[in-house]
Amino acid sequence: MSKMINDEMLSAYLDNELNEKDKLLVEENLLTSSELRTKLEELKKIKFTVKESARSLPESPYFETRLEAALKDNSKQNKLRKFAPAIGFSALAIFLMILFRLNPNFLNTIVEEQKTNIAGFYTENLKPLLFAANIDNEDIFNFAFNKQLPLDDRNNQVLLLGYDPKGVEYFEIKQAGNLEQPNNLDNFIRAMNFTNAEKEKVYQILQSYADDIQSQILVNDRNTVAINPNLWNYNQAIVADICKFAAQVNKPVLQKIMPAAYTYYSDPQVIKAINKAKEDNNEYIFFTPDTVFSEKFYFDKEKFKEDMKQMKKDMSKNMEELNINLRNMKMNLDSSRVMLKDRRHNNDIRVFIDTNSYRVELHNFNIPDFDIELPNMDSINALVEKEMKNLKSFSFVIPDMDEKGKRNFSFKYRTDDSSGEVNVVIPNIDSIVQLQMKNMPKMDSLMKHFSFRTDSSGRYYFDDDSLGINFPGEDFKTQMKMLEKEMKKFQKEMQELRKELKKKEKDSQDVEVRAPLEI
Amino acid sequence: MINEDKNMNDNSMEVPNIINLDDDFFLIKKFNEGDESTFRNLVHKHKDKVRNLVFITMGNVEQVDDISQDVFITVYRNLKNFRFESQFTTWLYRITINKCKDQLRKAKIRSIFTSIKDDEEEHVVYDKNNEPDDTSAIVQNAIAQLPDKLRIPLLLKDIEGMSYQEIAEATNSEIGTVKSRIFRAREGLKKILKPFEKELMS
Repeated sequence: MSKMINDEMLSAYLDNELNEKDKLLVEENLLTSSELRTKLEELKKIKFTVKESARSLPESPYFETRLEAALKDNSKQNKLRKFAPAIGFSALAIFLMILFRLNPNFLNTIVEEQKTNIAGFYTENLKPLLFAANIDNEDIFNFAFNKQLPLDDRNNQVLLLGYDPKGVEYFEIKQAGNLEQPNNLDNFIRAMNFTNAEKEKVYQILQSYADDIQSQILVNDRNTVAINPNLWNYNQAIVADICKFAAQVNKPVLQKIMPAAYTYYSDPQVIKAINKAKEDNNEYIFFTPDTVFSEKFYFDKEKFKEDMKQMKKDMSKNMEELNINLRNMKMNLDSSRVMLKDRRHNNDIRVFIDTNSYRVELHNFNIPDFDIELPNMDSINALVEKEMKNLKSFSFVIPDMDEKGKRNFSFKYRTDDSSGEVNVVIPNIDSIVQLQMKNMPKMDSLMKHFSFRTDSSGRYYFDDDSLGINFPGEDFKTQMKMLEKEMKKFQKEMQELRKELKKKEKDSQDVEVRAPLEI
Repeated sequence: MINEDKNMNDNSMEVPNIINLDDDFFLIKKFNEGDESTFRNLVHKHKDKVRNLVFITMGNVEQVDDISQDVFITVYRNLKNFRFESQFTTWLYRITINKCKDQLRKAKIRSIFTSIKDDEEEHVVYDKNNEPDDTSAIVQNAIAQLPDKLRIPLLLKDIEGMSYQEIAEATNSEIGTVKSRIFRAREGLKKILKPFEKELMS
């Protein structure tokens, strides 16, 4: 029987994996066979040893969290991952093939779009440059015949139209050499001997081009300068227009004073030139810090005019409030400062504004010396020195002021062997200063406009407090009053100083006592 | 099959969910209906067993979590193909053992290309890890020397306490084969441990 039991069955018996029949068989044999029992013991021992050798596995607290993250990562693209590069490239190739097949201009379109984007960047916020320069009829006339336009109010920069040796038109922006502008328009009108009505007509012609010329040169805060080549046509048109009119009035004179090229303008030619200029030519040439390009750009003249009108309206509203005519104030951008120029005062006054202060510089403005008659202190001094030696008594009374604002001080002294009296007339400095201040009309008128203070070197300047909000605001009067008060105080102090000086000098003199004051 | 029938009945009778909450089939069905959150329950329920199986099969801690993660990712992706013909655990354990075998195979291939020195180092590390308990180190070393096809069924039986049936399913083999392999593993161990008999006895 034991032969029927192999070791494998014994192992399975140990694991309790035998069916009932085999199990019984093994158990029966185990009872009789010690060899079998030993074998079972050995297997048991091995089984036990293996079981005992089991190590415990440390917990993994983040197992589930990590798994979830991995699943999210993995969930869908995983299948594609292996093939991703292949699929990607083939898809791209197919896409591009289809794209270029259907739309051969695709690349061009992209390039064009890109160009438009850049253009968009530089064409933002374009404003007429000449608006800043505020061109007048003289400027337009110079533009027509001298081909030059001032680009800023100080005439520091001009735009020049020119021809190169090959006859190609060019623009040039350069520093104006001489600031003195010859009065070409006036000279022209005088030479042509125009009547007042004719003069007005010329002005009208020139003025009719002002807006158009302004919109031909645009600038923005990105250092872009956009110039419409059409400017050339305007140049021709204005010349034609003016010459046509002048020829109608007095052709011989025009021929005499104008170069031959300008003189023979017939009506059709003028109309042609004007029409050419007035054609909507929106192709501007853009000069930017990093490129030059030409691009269609529509500058909405009407809208800009509207904006300006509105701005003027707003300004005039403010002007009423401020009670000042801002139309006469012009702003010029200096590198660090903004300068306000008051044209009424003909450059006598300049206001500089920077981050810290507003400063008004007064040019050609002299503050007169104060005319104050002071007594001859030297003679008094000598007297005092001489009589000091034997001074016995000294007296004086404080006199009242006379109508002229003077005080006549009388000092009496007595020495051992003599006595005497010294009269000193002290003028009222206060009243003199007041009087003289009134005689400074320029100062007076300026003070009515600006509230300013003096710095240590006697220059007038505004500070933020006085100008920022109040310029030249309502409490100008109160500030003026304060200024006056301070001046008065100063004057008083000066007076007292002088008095004291006198007193000391008198003190040392020998006087005959009139009032009872014994030393 | 019995399990499945029972589960079907439960569903048709609309027994409150609480009863079924832990049931693998119920969770899988829910999952396949679109409620992916039930997968979390499955993981929570079986992760310890899976990790232990990996640990036993691989013989070291280092790879346990990586392989276990891989197992569950495979389960996640294939759960919709689960046919409810066998227990979920049977399927799960088979995947686990297969993953381990894959790893062991890869390691073996790798070891061909690694230097002998590296091999020695691995052994040192292995021994060091088990320094505190000499006898268990000897046994583990001995078990490690068994071929995988003998070692794995033995450990599943003696440490995990799985039945021959379960082992056969997990290792994708016949019950008879499992029986034979477990026996041969024990015979092998006996031979390997013969020189250490005294230490083991004490």
